[in-house]
Order: sequence, then C-alpha cells, then structure tokens
Amino acid sequence: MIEFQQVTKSFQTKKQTVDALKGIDLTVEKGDIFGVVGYSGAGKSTLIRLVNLLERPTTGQVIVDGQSLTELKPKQLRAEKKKIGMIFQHFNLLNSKTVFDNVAIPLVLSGTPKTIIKARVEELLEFVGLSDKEKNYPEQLSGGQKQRIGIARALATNPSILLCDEATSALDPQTTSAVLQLLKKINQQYNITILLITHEMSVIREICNKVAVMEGGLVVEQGSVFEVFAAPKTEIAKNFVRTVIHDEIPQSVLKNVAISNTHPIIWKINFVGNTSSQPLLSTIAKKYDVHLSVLSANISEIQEKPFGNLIIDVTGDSLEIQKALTYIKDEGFIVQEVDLNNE
Amino acid sequence: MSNTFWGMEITAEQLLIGFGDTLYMVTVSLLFSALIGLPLGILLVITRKGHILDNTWVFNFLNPIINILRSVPFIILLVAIIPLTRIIAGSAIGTTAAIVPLVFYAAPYIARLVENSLLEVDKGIIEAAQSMGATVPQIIFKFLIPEGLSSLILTFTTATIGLVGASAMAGAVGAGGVGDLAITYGYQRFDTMTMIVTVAALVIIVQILQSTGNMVSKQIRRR
Ligand SMILES: Nc1ncnc2c1ncn2[C@@H]1O[C@H](COP(=O)(O)OP(=O)(O)O)[C@@H](O)[C@H]1O
Ligand SMILES: [Mg+2]
Repeated sequence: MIEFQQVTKSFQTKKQTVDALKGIDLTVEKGDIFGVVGYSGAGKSTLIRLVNLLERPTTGQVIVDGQSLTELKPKQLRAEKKKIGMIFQHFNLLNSKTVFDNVAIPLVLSGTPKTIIKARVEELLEFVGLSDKEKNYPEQLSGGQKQRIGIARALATNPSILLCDEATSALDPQTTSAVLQLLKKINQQYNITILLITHEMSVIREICNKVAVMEGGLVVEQGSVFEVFAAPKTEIAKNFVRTVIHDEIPQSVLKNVAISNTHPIIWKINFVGNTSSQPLLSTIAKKYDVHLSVLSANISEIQEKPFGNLIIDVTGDSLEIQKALTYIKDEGFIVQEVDLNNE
Repeated sequence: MSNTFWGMEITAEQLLIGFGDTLYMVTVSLLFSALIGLPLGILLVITRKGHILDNTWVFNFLNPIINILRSVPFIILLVAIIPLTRIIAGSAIGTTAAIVPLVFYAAPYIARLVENSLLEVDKGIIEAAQSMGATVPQIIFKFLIPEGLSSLILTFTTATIGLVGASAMAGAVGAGGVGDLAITYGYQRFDTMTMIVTVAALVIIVQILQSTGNMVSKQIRRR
C-alpha cells in the first residue's frame, strides 16, 4: 500500500545540509495501523510528509498504491492526494469557517454538487459524533472535538489511506484514548490503512498492529507490535517499551537470586490474549524435572488484549531445562533468556 | 460673506466640495491601489522560499521595487512623478491628477501590508490545503484570503487612513479636498477657524475609518 524504497531526504539550509532521512525501507500493508515512533528530530514528520508529497524525496521512491507519486503530472497528483487523508497535531482547521464548511472543503475543492456535499458532511459529522456542532466555529471546540473535525475532513473524499502526524500529541490522555478509538473504528469499518507517527509508545500500544522505531533518520527496528513489545532488540526500542510496560525485576529479588546462584537461568516469557501463564507453569513443573520461581509477573494491554509478562528463575538439570524451553516455545509463547549483567 | 459661518472665510459649500474631493481622491486611489497592491502582496507571499509558488526570481524582482517606492516620502513622490502623471492623467494639477501619485504611494504600501497579513496565516493551514490536493488559486482564494481576512481588513483600514493623510498633502499641488482648504485658507491666510474645522474634520474621518475597520475585523475574527 505504502512502500518506501531506499528513501533519503536532505534539507538545504543556509548554514548546512540536514540529512533528515538516511535511507528508509518500509512497507505498510493494506489494512495496517502502522505506527512510527521516535524521539523529536528523528525524522518522523519528514517521513510521513513524503507519502503525500508535502516533501519530495531527495533520492529513492515512495510508492503509494502501486504508483510512484513523484512521476505523476500535477493534475494526476492532485487526484491521487484525494485518496490520502491527513490529520495534524495542531488540527489545521480554518478558523474563519464553520465546522460544516471545514469538513466540506475537500469536496468543494473537487467541485462536488452542493446537495451531495450536504449529505456527505452530515454523515461524516454523525460518524465522528459532532452533528450538533455543524454551525460552530473551531474556536468554540475543545482539542478533542477539533481533531474529530480534522478526521471528518480527512475522510470527506473517501481516502484509502489516512496519515496522522502526532494527531494526539496536543490532547490529554482521556481525549487521546477517545480519538485513538475513533481511528481504530475508521480502520475497521472503512478498511482505511493508517500510518501514524508519534513520540508516545502508549499510542502504538493502544491501536497499532505494526511498529517502526526511528532514530537519526533511520528505521532501527520494526515488526509486529507484539514482537517489538515482547522482545525489543535495540536500546532505543527497549527504552520506548519500558515507558509503557514495566518488566524490570525488583532489585531485592535480583539480590536474592544472585546470592543463591551465581549463574542463574532467568527467562522472560510473554504471552498475549487470554492464555494464562498458570497452566503453563504447572505443566512444566509436572512434565520436566525443573524448579520454577516467579520473579516478576504483570499483565498489561496491547491493542486491548491482555499482554502478559512473566519472569522466572529456572533451576534443575540442563537437559530438562532445554526440554522445558522447547516446550514453551512450541506452545507459542515468546521466551527470552535474561542476562542479569545487562539488566 | 453671506454663506460663511463660525467666522470662517470659506463657505459651507466650499467645505462640502472639499469633503467630496477628498472622498473622491481616497476612494478612487484606494480602488486602484488595491487592484495593484493586493495581487502584489499575494505574490510576495506565495513566491517566498518554501511557499506554494516558490520563485526566487519573482520575489527578488518585486521585493526591492516595493522597498524603493515605500521609502520615498509622499511629498517627494508627488513632485518626482509629475511627468508620468501628465501622461496618465493628462495634467499634473487637480483632483484627478492627484490620484496618480496617490496610487504610486499606496499600492506598494498595500502590497507590504497584505504580505504581512497573509504571512500571519498559519502554515499548517496551507499544508492542510496542499494535502487535500488544492490548486494554487484554490489555496489563495479558499484558504489564504479567508483566513487572513480579519487582518486584511485592518490592512485596508490603515491604507485608507494613509490615503486620507496623503490626499491632504496633495492639496499642496492644488488637488482640492479638505487638506487643500486647510493649506490655502487656514495656513496661507491665517484663517484659524478654517484650520480648526478642517483639522477636526480630518480627525473625525480617520477616527470613523479606524473604528469601523476595527469593528468589522473583530467581528470576522470572533466567528
Ligand atoms: N524544512 C526543513 N528545513 C530544514 N530542516 C528540516 C526541515 N524539516 C525538518 N528538518 C530537520 O530534519 C530533522 C527531522 O525533522 P522531523 O522530521 O520534523 O523530525 P520529527 O518529526 O521526528 O521530530 C530535524 O533535524 C529537523 O530539524
Ligand atoms: Mg514531528
């Protein structure tokens, strides 16, 4: 659906050249809610702005729906842009126009007849739950309401892709959640592919199915949200995961483990959905000659599904331990060995 | 002396004609200056680096010309372009002739003010427009101007007031109008009462223009 191929982007300023993107390869599949996370200055906005050519790539290709937008003539490009909606951190609504006119504007631009516009705008306002605000001006709305209007406007031309540039960063946590749920509904109900960028891992956790982590103009890690949350590889991804999932082993527990065993074997087991860890542990204990003790256990949520995080200390015969490990993996859990020296 | 009042040397009729001349000069020159200044101001915005019609050539051509015209004091401009005024208006003296230097004075002024007003429009709005696939004219007329309208109204208020002042100076070359009365009677003939009345009239005109402009602008902004 959206494909970045070897994309670089440099900005020429008076003093220097800024390499904002240094070679991006990324594929967003149809139906994805793809999240890009990174600290400020990582190049996220530049990346998302390439998709609708608010910025042109310096080298490489951005292919949207099988087409390289840079090769299109202006008229074709304008037509293509109508298939890509975008919402912004600061909403970018027209203060001089009513809510109705704001939502209508993409349709007015493409010369849609008035009666059709009216019906479509009313339908959109209904969808975002703001039918009663039709005649209000943006200034009279709260941040969350403004973003809903932004969303309604972005959907006016029936796009197949929705780009979200820090769409919830100006909102409080409750409003953020409501807006994210609305995005999810859009994704499911209209099968619209969503590419969103954020600096908040909680946003990724709440609605994305895939994630890419950006740093210094590069994608340093990507995968399914479950994979990355369960087993982040890079330091930066670990830091981001840590902001929402607390899976550190308490210091006091660590000390006890170190006292009883100089080379403890510690596993971190992740599971998702309603599979519980309890039968797993008791099964292992029964089937194999190993002792298990739980060092830390907690359940958080990824895309509203329970996401379990279990850290256990394993002792016993090494062959038995190996068998137990294979069993856990075969059952579909993600297991990682934890190296205490790195914690 | 039968038609004079308040001890002025001028008649009520002269005063009325003076007002009429001022009104004529200001409206006509405002119209022409706006016709020239508004597009120039828009061009100054959109040809800027990174804007929707990024064009260094056009920008670097227009920018200094406007600067130069803006830096010439009106009273000098008035005299300096007399030959041009003769060609355009057929004469260098009179109410209609005064319109030519007034337009030369106000058009670049309006261009600059329009530029400032439109630069105030949030770049995010333009970005939203571009993301919708709006054409350049659509961005100008459906986004830039509506969003800058409240500020543009103040711009034109300022320009109009500037023209009232300049048209009074044009009185020095016999352009007629309230300013002419003030100079010919109030100043040259020591007619204090005429001086007071004409100055008061100018003050009132400016006050009315300013408060109307503020009110309209505020009304638009408040929506
Ligand atoms: N128009 C521009 N001109 C110059 N530098 C830019 C421009 N846009 C972005 N940059 C630079 O590119 C880098 C990435 O910016 P951005 O994509 O906005 O990062 P993020 O959205 O992740 O915070 C930053 O160093 C930023 O200063
Ligand atoms: Mg950004």
